[in-house]
Amino acid sequence: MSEMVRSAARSALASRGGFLLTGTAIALSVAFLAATLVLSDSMRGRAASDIAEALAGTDAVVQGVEVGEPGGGPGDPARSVQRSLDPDITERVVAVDGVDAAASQWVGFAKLVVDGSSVGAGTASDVGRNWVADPALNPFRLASGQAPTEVGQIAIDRSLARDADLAPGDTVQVLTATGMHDATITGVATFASADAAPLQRTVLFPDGAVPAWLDPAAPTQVLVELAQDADRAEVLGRLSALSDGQVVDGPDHIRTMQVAATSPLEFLNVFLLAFAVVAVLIGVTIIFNTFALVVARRRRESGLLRAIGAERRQVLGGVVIEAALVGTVATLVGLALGVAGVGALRWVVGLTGVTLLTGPSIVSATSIAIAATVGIGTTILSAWIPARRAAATPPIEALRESAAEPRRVSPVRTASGLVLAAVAAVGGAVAVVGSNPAWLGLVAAVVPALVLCGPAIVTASAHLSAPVARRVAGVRGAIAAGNLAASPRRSASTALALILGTAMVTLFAVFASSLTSGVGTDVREGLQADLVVTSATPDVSTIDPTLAGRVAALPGVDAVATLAKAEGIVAGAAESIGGIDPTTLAAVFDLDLVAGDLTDLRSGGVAVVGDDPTLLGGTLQIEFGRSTIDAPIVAVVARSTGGFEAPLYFVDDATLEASAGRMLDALVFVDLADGAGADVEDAVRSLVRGAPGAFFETRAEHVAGSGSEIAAFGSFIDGMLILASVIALLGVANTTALAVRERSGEIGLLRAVGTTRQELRGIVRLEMGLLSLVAASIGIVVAVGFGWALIDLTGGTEIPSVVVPWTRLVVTFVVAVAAGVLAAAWPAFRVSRVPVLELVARGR
Amino acid sequence: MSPHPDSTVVETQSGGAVSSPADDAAAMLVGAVKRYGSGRSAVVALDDVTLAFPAGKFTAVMGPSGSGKSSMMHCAAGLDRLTSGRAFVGSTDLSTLDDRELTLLRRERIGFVFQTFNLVPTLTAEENICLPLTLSGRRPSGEVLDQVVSMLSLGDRLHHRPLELSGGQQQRVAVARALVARPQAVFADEPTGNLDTRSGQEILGFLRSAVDQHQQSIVMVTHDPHAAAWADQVVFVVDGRVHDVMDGPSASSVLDVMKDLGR
Repeated sequence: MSEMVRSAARSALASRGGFLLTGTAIALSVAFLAATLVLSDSMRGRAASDIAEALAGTDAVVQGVEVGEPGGGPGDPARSVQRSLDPDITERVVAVDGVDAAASQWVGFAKLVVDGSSVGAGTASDVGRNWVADPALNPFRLASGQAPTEVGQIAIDRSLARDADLAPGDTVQVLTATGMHDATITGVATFASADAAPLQRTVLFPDGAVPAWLDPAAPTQVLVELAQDADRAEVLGRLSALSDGQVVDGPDHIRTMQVAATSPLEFLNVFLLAFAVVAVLIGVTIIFNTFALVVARRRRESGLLRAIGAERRQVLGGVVIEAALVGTVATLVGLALGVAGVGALRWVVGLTGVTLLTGPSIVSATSIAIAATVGIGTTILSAWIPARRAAATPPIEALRESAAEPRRVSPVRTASGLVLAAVAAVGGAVAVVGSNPAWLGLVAAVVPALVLCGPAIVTASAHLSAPVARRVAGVRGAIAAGNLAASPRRSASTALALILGTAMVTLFAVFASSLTSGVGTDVREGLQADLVVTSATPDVSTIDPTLAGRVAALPGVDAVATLAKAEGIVAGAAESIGGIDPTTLAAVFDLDLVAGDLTDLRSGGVAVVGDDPTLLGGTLQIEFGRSTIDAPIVAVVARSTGGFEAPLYFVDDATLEASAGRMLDALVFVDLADGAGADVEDAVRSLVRGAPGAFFETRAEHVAGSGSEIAAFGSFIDGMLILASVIALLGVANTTALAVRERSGEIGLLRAVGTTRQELRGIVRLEMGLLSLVAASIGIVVAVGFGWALIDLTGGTEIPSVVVPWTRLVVTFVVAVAAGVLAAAWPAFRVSRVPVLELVARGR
Repeated sequence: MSPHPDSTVVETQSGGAVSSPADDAAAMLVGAVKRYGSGRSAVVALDDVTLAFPAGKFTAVMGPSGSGKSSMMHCAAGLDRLTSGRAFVGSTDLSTLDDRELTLLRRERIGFVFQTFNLVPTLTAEENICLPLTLSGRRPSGEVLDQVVSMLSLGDRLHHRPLELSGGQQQRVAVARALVARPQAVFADEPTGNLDTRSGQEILGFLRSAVDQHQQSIVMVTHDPHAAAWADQVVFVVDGRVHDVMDGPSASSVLDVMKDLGR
């Protein structure tokens, strides 16, 4: 055995060149996977431990019953509404036997404003809460300064203090649902020992400021500390009997908060893992190709061994041990790279605007074990398959045969691939026609279908492209096209890496553009105002409600209308409800009335976004946090006001405020008087500039910008793509190098009969160009098809129609082909420098 | 076989006797030295060889294994570079050419026939035949192509790919490729080494008739006295030097010399 290991090590060292690329591919895949796992552990782990620590002193929580479903990630905020507690709930909780202490916790929107501009950007939310005096119940701890006690005093979390360079004593402003408030910082606080609560920026103020700043009907939560000797279950039972609120045991509360804090990260993790899987798949094709060739080259040798009586296992063992050695070394390098590269990944994730938690990375044994298993396991498997195939060859045949793989494509293989492709297509069609997403699962069969059909596709496209290539590049084109079909299996597995890559990009691009367009259509068609004031954060309303009035007072401004939004439960699901003034809005935004009369909203009616006029006259029940309304449906409109989380129902703004509490404006539409000059626009602009949380946009900008929230996500995808494509490029380079080495005899001949170095490089590049062309086309077609079916089925109202981003797809296509050609450039250059005679000799 | 009184193999061991290409030489080596490696492990494959391959003649190069006969052909044909000395094709000094110029020279003025790996597997027989011409953007004249193809009786095989041809047919395609551009010199490296006797004889016959009918210059490296007997003259190479030149060889006279050399 040790003899075998030694000889395997020797031969691995001997074929350094081939294994260097393979090793790099394995190492990069493992690094990518390890970094992803470590990152997700770190994000989750930090958030979870911070929350557990911060809430450790709270034995139980009394809070309003939650209606609807909790939300998923960025762009999918919590789709639930919490029912109000009784205003005097805290006093009643304190009075319960067995309760040691209780504190009201009010939570709302609060944005820190320094010198007229708001602090912080990205997906973290701006939270305002009262400073809980009881240190055991307060999740925050003072890091420096004093706790806020007077109205106008605040404490801020340490990451806000650091970001805005603030210290106790500084004066700032705080924007809340009731408008702008002046404040002095008295202290800087930490969430347990962390700089900030997970994905939140927190402003803390005294209880006294709550009525004026948050305008709450009742506390959001009551934090409860139980007496040491109390019977826990019994006290909780007594608390439950107090109100129709919900009593949550401390540990459960911690768990809920942990899930809530990490759920936006789960969403990211899915994407990161998807990319990691693609990276590993690409790595596997590279490894597989390399070992297939290594085995093929040793076929004769192994045939000889078998002929003189070596067992199959003995022939096979050497290659597998070799793979294990290469795999282990590369995996170790990959793990080190991965752990070190978490920083790079953090940066990429940072492109989404998700502020990641600070603190050290958590490298868990599980992550390491998974990445190592994948790295070493896939390498061994990739070597074992060709080795087994080689060992199964009768010795005489192995001795006789040349090293090249058979050109013939197995018809059985192709046929089964076609069957799977048909299954995928039928699955997709049935799913779309029958509106049944379950059938969509069958579409996954397209991946094995591509694997199986790959060689046939490559051969067919080589035949099809040959005449074109010949016309364009003469005999060199014919050679390049022919080479493609010379090793169909290897070409196919290279193509697979490219197909996966382009399919991934395309899928995301289709999603992003459909989502953007879905969000943007209503704005494009309905917007009539000249100017629009938007909120600083897309999914939270942040416009000072006094701004609209001030803009309306400017000379030259014709009409101003506002949109406020609140979550309300309609038929069991949380929906966005818009509050409007029906008369002013009509002048600036055409909601495209289908039936009814919008002015009837004034008398407490509701307008439904839809196209069914028969809804008119019905009654709609909407449950807000504070109250439930039964409103007659007085209008049906075809459009909403557009943008992210556009309302599906409109009520009168007064009705919304009465039912859901005071809130900031989400949008302000401004229409200028006819003939108003640029000076009027400038006046509005400067007014908006002075209002933190409000952004100024012209009509064109607003139409273009609707859905731009998604653009941030797009840059994250781009970042991931750069990482993934490095691995894909390695794959192409590797395959090209292998192919070129295998064909050295033929290349030597070409050089001998007068092919210049330049022409030779051209042939190699053309071949990879053709392959990339085929792969990119398949990737794009498959992804557009799948994306179309998926969006059609699951897009709902947010993505009403599929929009294919042609420009982006063309760019993807061009980049994919160019990348393939580029990756082929180095091996092409190398082989062109080899002396002719050496090539001829190698071929023998 | 006719006698060849005009065959002019210039032979010197001292060098310097011939410094410019002879007008009637298809290719020529002057003071050619080819050394592989350096220092103590250096191997001298060509040791100051001066030799002209006459135009319009069929020259065979023979010698024991390791004698330097292949190196001689490779250097003369511009596939390899001399360590010192000069190689000419016609009047062109190969040492003055860069890689690109050398490649173009091979493409336009030289034809090759190798022992194996003679054809590009992805091209048809016809495409392989025309490869050097199409590479330089020329089309073969239909007349020449027809002539070559009919001479080699490849007519019905033109659209087959190499893998669909027998070894003899493949080698005939290779010969057709070497001849079709009417190059200044054809270099053949053991063209019959992989063939059975019959196919080998056919190939040699084709080469012979190209010389007789079209005054094609051919240089062939071989170790087979029967193959060498088809040539107008035989150059014997031993230890990197020209040992002897024989005009109007026969298989038995060549065999005698070879036996001598082997002793």
